[in-house]
Amino acid sequence: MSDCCFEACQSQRLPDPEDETFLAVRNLSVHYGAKVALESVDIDIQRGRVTALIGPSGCGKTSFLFTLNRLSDLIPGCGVGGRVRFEGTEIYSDGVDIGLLRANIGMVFQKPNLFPVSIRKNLYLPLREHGCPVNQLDRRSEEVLREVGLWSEVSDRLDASAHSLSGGQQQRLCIARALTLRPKLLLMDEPCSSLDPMATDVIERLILKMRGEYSIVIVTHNLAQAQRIADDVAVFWCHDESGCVIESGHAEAVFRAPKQPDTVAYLAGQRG
Amino acid sequence: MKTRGATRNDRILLWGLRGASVLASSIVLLIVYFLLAESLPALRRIGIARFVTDGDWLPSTAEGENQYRLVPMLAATLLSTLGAVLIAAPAGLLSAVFCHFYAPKALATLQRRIVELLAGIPSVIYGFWGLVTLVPILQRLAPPGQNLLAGILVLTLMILPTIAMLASATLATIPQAHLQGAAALGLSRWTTLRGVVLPEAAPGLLIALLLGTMRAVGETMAVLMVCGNVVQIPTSLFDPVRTLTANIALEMGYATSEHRSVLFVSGLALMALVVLLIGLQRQFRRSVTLV
Amino acid sequence: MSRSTSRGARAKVADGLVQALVWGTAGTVSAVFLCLVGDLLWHGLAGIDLDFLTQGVERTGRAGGIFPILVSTFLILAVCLAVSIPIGLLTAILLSEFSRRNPTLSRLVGASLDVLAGVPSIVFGLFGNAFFCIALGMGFSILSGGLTLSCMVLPIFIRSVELGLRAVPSDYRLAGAALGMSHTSMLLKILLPAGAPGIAAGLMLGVGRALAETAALMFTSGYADRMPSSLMDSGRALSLHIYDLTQVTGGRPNAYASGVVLVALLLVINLLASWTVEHIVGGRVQRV
Repeated sequence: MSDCCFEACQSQRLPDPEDETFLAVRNLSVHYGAKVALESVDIDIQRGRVTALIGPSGCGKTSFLFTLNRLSDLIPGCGVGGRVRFEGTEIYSDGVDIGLLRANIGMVFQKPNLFPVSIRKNLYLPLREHGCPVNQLDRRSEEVLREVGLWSEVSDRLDASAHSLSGGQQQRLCIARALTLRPKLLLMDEPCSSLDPMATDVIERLILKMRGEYSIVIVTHNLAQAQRIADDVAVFWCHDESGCVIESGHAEAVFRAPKQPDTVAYLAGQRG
Repeated sequence: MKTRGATRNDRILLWGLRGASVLASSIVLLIVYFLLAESLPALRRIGIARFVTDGDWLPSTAEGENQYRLVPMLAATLLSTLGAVLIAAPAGLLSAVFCHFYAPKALATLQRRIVELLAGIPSVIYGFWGLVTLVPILQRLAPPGQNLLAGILVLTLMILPTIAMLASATLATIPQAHLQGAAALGLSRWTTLRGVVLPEAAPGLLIALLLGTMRAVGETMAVLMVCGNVVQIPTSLFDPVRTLTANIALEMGYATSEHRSVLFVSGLALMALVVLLIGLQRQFRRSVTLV
Repeated sequence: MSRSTSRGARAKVADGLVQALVWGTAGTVSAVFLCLVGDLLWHGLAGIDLDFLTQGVERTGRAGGIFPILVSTFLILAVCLAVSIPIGLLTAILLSEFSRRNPTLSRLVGASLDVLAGVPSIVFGLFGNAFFCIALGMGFSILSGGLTLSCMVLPIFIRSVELGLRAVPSDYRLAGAALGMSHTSMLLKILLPAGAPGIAAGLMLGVGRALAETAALMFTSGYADRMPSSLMDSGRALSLHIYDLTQVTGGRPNAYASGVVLVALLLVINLLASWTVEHIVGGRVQRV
């Protein structure tokens, strides 16, 4: 069985990325100290599509997400090997402006993590940081709040504490905050895992609305959710306690006719 | 875009942080350096041996006839500290135990608040209170009243809050489950304390004791005001004594050359004592966290 | 059977004895506290009026007020804070936010602060005299005294600011990093405001320690009881004034009154500190 898995990992080799590839990951590995969390991942992420990362927990999906905007730099003992190429730039090469990279690749976390300041200030902070002129702040804030459908709900209390919002509203404000910088890619780490079904539904519809305009990579444990929102999927699997990607491609193809036995079992709810 | 400037700001910030940290940590080195530099003349010309072998403490007689016997002061410092710790350690522990296991909630809060306030009272006030309240009482027992016992009692009061607060913090870390386990066995409060609480809290209590000792060794004002300041090795609790710290406080004002240098030697000795206690404490803390 | 009953009886006696001992100790501690504060207030309150707070020192403190003493005290405190706040904040930020990137430096700083926190105040006095007064040529002055105190206050201030900053959820740091914010703006706009309670508590603990200090000021800021005309003037701190008054005959009434003023100042600061610690930082700032 483990041989099969090993081969599965190897079977995902992709050729060298072409320059117009939106986001290309080659031979990526992540380790925490001596423990390898993720090995030899090859994936191409397409522009304007929603890519769902699925698989059992502990298989390195979140670790993978953290490498794409180099948030992995902040995790003690975390080392990254291999290549990540975003719009023709190797993001792990020297002289990469990490601030700029993270402005171009936004991120939304499992739990809403708004700053302990007002709703307005939460949106102003990234805008000011990246040089948005003062007279544009209000316009841009309103834009993103309308995009995530929060404007009608909070327009009359922008100066209230962001923590006074409900969980679903907070998560949408987090998305709005990430959108303030007009990111080309939005990373979402199980954005609905702390929300109730109603709030989850709102976020899912929001993701569907954003498709095309934004490129989204979303980690989810919820297969039904992946089926509802994903254009592409990548299936993460564990082998010898380290994760790898065993299968990736168009969502429909993977869900309808999975190639790997582990994927078949996982989708059928028999494993993982 | 602004981001370039931001990374430069970050670099400036980091160097600022490092600069301030180096400055803050160099204070200790500066202290050691100046203590050494000022005591060097005395150490070189008088030598350590004479601080013990000299017959008396006569620091400002005619040139060349000075005597620098530091032993009585050292004895006073050690004895007053020992006495204070012997009383304050059990008392502090009992006060913490009172808050955690015996007192009703309101009383426990009150007691805790009182201990906190006691910790905040400056040493000069303790000294003053000792002088106007404690010393007259002791005077009736054995004149002149300013003596080793007065010093021990005032020091006890001063280090008790330190010990009580740290002991209390240690007791708070004992898992509730262990106490419930003891209660389920029908153990009495005293048996629970002796069998469960004290063994588990022992390392933390020892650290509290070391910190209390440190505070007592270094205390100046209170002992200066109540100990009588006679240079002698005490033969009873009612003898007036002069501690190392009080000696510095009394004589730094007029000391010159060799005399001044000897006072710095006694400062160096205090520093060595304190560093020893801190080293013990750090060592101990490390071994505790390993377990 | 009889053996076990006698053992049980003995345990009961021990239990009772310990209980009596515990209550007795707690009672004694409270009684001594009440006696101390009561005595101070009883004898001291009578001597405090507006004149006492606003007039100059006369006949080496036996008469007159403590106005110049208060001014000197606050000037010394101001110098102390002006130096220790910036250095302390920066060091605390290094320890809480960048210790992983500067492990050696952080360990060294931590160890030296531990030692510094334990240095006896009289040794600070010796050091301040040798370094600030003589080596740097500041003489007996408010400046020397304030700088000496800042050395004393730094470890307390740094440790509580560090704890306050560590108490800020790491979520905010991740969120800020994911938005491409620089460390500088994260600190200024999120971490320092969120860590403000810890900073406030540290500040008050430091001020409390500085106000209470006597021995370190004897040979640094000096005994002059007149109104200081500049920071280079000698100025007598309130705590030192109390000590000095016990050394002159007939000084006790004013020593009591000055003591009440000092304790009142400290009480307010202490209550503010423990209030901030308990209600805002949630008890995460350790008070030693």
